[in-house]
Formats: sequence, C-alpha cells, structure tokens
Amino acid sequence: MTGRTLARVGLVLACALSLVVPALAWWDVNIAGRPLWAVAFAVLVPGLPAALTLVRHPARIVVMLVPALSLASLLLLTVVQVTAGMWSEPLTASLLALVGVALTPVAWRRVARAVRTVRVGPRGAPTAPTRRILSVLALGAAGILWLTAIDTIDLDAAGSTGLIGVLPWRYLLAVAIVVVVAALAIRARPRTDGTFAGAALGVLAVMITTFVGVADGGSPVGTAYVHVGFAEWIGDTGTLRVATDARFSWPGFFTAAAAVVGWAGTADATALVVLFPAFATLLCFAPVYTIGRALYPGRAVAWTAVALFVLGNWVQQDYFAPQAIAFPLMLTILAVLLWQTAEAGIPPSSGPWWQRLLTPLGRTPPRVPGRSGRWAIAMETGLLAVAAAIVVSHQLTPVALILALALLSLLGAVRSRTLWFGVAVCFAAWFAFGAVDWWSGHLGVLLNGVGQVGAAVEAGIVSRVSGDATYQLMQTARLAWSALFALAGLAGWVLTRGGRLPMPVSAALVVAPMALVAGQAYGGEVVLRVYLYALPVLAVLAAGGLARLLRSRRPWATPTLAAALIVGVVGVSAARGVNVAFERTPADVLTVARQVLWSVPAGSTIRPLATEGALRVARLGDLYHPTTVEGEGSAFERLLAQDPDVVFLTSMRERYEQLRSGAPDGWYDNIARLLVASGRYEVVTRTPHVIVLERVSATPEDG
Amino acid sequence: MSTIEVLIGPAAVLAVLAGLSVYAASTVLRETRGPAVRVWTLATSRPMLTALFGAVIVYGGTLLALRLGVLS
Repeated sequence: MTGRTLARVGLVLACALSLVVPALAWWDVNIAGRPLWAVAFAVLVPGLPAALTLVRHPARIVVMLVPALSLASLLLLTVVQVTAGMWSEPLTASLLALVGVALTPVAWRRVARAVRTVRVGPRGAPTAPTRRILSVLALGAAGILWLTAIDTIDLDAAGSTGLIGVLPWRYLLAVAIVVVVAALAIRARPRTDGTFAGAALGVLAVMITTFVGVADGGSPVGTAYVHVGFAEWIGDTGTLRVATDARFSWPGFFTAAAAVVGWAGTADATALVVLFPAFATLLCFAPVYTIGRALYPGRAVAWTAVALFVLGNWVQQDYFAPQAIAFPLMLTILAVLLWQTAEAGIPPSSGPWWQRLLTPLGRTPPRVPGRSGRWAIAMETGLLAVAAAIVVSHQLTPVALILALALLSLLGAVRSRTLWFGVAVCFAAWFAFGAVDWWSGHLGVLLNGVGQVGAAVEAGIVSRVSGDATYQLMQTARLAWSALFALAGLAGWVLTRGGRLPMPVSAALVVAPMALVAGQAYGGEVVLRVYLYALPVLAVLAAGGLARLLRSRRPWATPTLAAALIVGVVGVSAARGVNVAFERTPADVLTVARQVLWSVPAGSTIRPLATEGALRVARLGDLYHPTTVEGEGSAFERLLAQDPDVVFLTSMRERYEQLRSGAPDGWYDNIARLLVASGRYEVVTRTPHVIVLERVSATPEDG
Repeated sequence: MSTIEVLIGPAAVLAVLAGLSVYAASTVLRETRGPAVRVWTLATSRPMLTALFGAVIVYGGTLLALRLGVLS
C-alpha cells in the first residue's frame, strides 16, 4: 500500500470519527466499542488532517505529529472550557471534529500532490517473505505464551526480589521470541525491515508495560486511580477543585481524560488505566526513531535506539498520569527540531578556536530544503501549541523542554532559535494566572526546594536503597541499570563523535534535564525524571555505538544483537517490577474501594494506614482522607487517635512496611484484631488483599 | 483585593502579550530573511532589537515576581 493510499484511508477514518464520536457523545448512544472510537478520535482528530496539511513526508514526521497535534488540541481546548466554565464533552468533540473536517480537503489535496513516491514497507530488493511469515507466526506464539503467563503468575508471592522472582518461564520465552523477531528485522538484508521491527518492538512494549496490570486487572501504580478520581470530578462538575491538590493547577491531562470518558460513555477512566502504559510508551516510538535518524544515518540504528529506549525505561512514569503524555509531546518537539537541523545541515565553523566556539551563539541554521517561510512559521506554531499543551498539563516537563530548547539555541543547532522564549512566556503566563492555587500562600515552601541538589539526590537515590537486604540489592541493581544506559550512551557518544550533528548538540539533550535537580521543588522523584528525560538520547547514542555490529555481515552479528536484547528485556522486567509487591492494585482492592466509597455517607473519614490510590477513585469532594499521622506511638495508636469512620487495610501496604521497615508477618491482621478488640470497630469486608473495618455506630457528624 | 493586586494583574497580562509579540515578530522576521544559514556577529547585530528582547524579559520577570510576591 502506498503512503498516499494509507494517508487517504486515514483521512476517511478521521472524517468518520468526526461524525460518529460527537453524535455518540451528544445523544449518549451506547454502541459496541464506543470507548475504542473515543480513544481513536482523541488520537487522530484533528491531528491527522493537520499533520498532513503541515508535512507530507517523511512518514515518520507525520506519524509523530498526528497524536501530538490531536492530544495537544484536546488538552488545550478542555482546559479553556473548564476555566471558562463551558464544560461539555460533546461540545469538545464537536469543536475538534469541526477543525478536523475543515482541514481535511486541504490535507487531501496535499496528499494527492506529493506523497506519490512514499511507500509503506521496505524498498529496494524484496524482503524475505519466509522471514516475514515466520515472524508473524512467532509473534502469535509469543502472544499466546504471554497470555498463559498472565494466567499462571502469582503476584502475591512477589517479595523482596519483586517481579523477577515470580516471573513464569512462559513470559521470558515470549519476550525472547519477540526480541529475536525484532533483531532479525533490524538486521534484515538488504535493508532493515522497519514494518516488522516496529511491530515486534510494539508488541514487546505492550508485553513489558502491561504485564502486571493485565495480570492484576488493575493499574501497576495506585496513583493512577487518584487521577481517575480527578477526571471524574471534572466530568461531573465541569470545574477544578480549589485548594485540595496541587495537581489541579496543571489540569490538562485530567480535563482531557474527562472528555474522553464522556465520549466513551463509561462511568470513569478506570478502563483506560491498565493499557495506558503501553499507549504512552508507543507514543514515544516515532520521536525516538526520528531522533535516531537525525543523529545517525540508516534505519537499523534508529530501530535499535527504540529497542534500547524500551529496555532502559524502568521508571514507570508511563502510568495513567500527566507526565506520561507530556513526555512524548516534549520528545516530539525536540525530534521535529532535530529532524529539521539534520535535513538542512549545520555548516562547519571555521577560524581560530575562539571563533569556532563563539560562532554557534550567533548561528541560525538553514531552513529545511524545499520548504517555504510560511511552512516554517506554521510548523513552529504547531510546535508552540504542543508546548502550550505541555505547559497546562505538567509542572516539570515544560521546564525540561525550555532548558533543552535554550541549550540547542545557544549551540546554534535549531532554526527555531526563540522557541524556548515562546514556551517560557507560556509557562510564566500559566504559572502566574493558571496555577495560582499551587503557589498562592506557600511560595516560600516551594522556593526552598530550589538549589537543594543534595537533598534531591539523597531522596532520589540514597533513600531509595533502604529496607530488607535483598530489596536493597534489587534497588541498587535498578540504579546500576540506569548507570549502564548512561555509560552505553557516553560510549556511543565518544565512539561516534555525537553522530551527524556536532558533539555538543547530543550532549546538550542529556545535560539539559540535569539542571532540574537544582531548580525544582519536586523532591527526590526528580532524579528519576532526569534519567527518563535523558534516556531517549542515551538510547540513540548507545545504538549509534552499536552501528558496526548492526552493519556487520558476520554470521554472529544477529545472534549477538538478539542475545544483548534478551539480556536487556530480562533486566528491564526486573527493574520495572522491583516494587511490584506493594505498588500494584489487584482487582479486589479496587472493587472493595468502590464499595466502601459509595456506601459511606458524605463527610465520612476513610483511612488506610498510609496511602491508597484506589480510595480516591470516586467521590472526591464528598469524603475526607486525612493524611498519615506521624509521631509517637504505634501505627495502631496513631490510627485510633484519628478515629476514622472507615479503616482500609491492604496487604500491599503491609508488604511495603515489611520490605522497608521490617514489619512482621500478619501485621495488618493484628491491627485489625486490635481495632476490633477496642470495641470501636468491626470488620465489614475481608478479601485476599483487603480488610475493611467500620466504626461501630459511625455517623458522618463524628468525622 | 488590594490596589497593587488590581494593578499587577493587567500589567502582567500586558507583559505576557508583549513577550508573545516579541516571539512572534522574531519568528516572522527570521523566516522573511530567507532560508540560508545566518551567523550574527557584533557587526551585524541589531542592538535595538536585542535591547527590546531584554527589556521584555526584565519587564515580564519583574511583574511575575511582583505578582507571586503579592498574592502569596
């Protein structure tokens, strides 16, 4: 199928979605697969016609821009609606559909004119059909193995070694098969089989990121349910909750999720959370691939970079959360800019050393050959819109983006030299007017975090390695996994002299996020974000370092690549799953949490012993969730002092206390017994993972 | 709401608009100069534009600090 035909099919599909989804939303018609229609609409409209209007080739830029422009439009429009008091999910769908339909004729004409030479699939000599047939069969077999692994895994048995200690052999065999298919496609002759490399790596990403969630029937990170609750609040009330949670000051993701839930006709966003990590990871594929193509010639290095990105990404910031969308959007902006620079080229500096050093400061690279000034302005406007969507959705990602753009500008490596300034103005404007709730009244506390490099590193690295000895070892191994990717990136950078662009350019993309550690009020988690933000470029540089292996005609080259990737997939499965014993949310926890939330009267106080995301999944404004009480006495005594209406104890939290604080087995059972013995509580629900106690004769007034 | 709060709000809005205008003007100017690579030196730079850019940053930054300080 040619690129033109594919683009036209996409445009017809986008038009169909533009007609169907608003209609479903307005009349609330429940048809089969309505959630899928809603998600497809969110990803394709108006991004597909807008992207094809902007760029017709190369395909990777179109593929990257489609979801970026669609999601950015959705994020921005829903934030405008909620802040202007005009909340209506059907209206959101209608406005996006109108833009999409209006752009379709323009996109159609442009596609007809210019995509004639673009083909989907390999060019040149035909790719071996036998390998492709075998690859399809292998991927199918791997899928079946993976599904059987889900049936057989016992996540309750996960302890200090985390997921790797309980992974069934079927899972390991499944991912190994997929990795071999990917390696064969990457090293295919006469050229890389991009279709199968992408497909295999996509399957690999789904297998790695959703395994725990699918096995459990719930999000691998409980905080996802807090965000589900936020989206539900917005969908129900059409407002942002003031003075309750700082995250409402950056509401783009939650407003967008509320809109998608409205289009899908589901009760809330719970249905999205299990597969969301795969969606967020797949969104990063095209940007990472594009950065790979910008830094190195050839598709093998770029697909290897995508593989390494998947294998290095253990930090689990892809759960149902704002950063999971903001990150691929940021990558898209950087990838488009680097693509432009690579296409146009940077003339080498000449003269004495000081002149070569100073020249980049005043250099504006040439425009992409064959593109007009109007095109450049339109593209930059699109990128600014994507950046604005990031600004209203997450507090940290825009800062990382501004730093990266400013450094690239200083190095004279991007034509959009003032984009950093445009994004900074948007960020300052939102900070000053949109995020008042976040800083108002406690600016001093926020500013105190600035410059606390030591504290951030301490919280982000040192304090993470604590608790049970085996658990500590696993935490250390996880940090070593990050260090391995950093070293591999450094080695690739040195060996390839930074790739096709000047060495400081690729270095800048790794260094820029590090400044976040100094200038933030984000706590220790920022260290993980720094690694995540640097990972795409580290993966590309590491893949660049493997270029000789990827080009080699030796018979051992493909097995070597496959073996390295198999080691990588075992490593990332282990690293991602270190905390699985306590971070997961089994289905019964969510079910019982819902039962509790909807059975207690408004104003009731609900307390886990520490935190429990599932308890925020609904009735955000009705119920009271006091924070953990620190201080003297046992956990039981402190809990009793708070006198909550409902006590919600989960085996996950108990496992956390066992791993981190050495709590004894049966600790929560004992607390439940003590609460019952006090005569003030009775057990009302008990499941394999939850004990719920209610205060005897509890009334809302007491809370 | 105090007088200073009333004054700073619209002034900060103006700062945002000024910042976006400077950004938009710089982008349009760059693309109207043509597609070729350009290397600015002290001899070819335009001090007035640089000063305007700097002034907008200082103006916006000051008002942002004032707004944050007053409202917090």
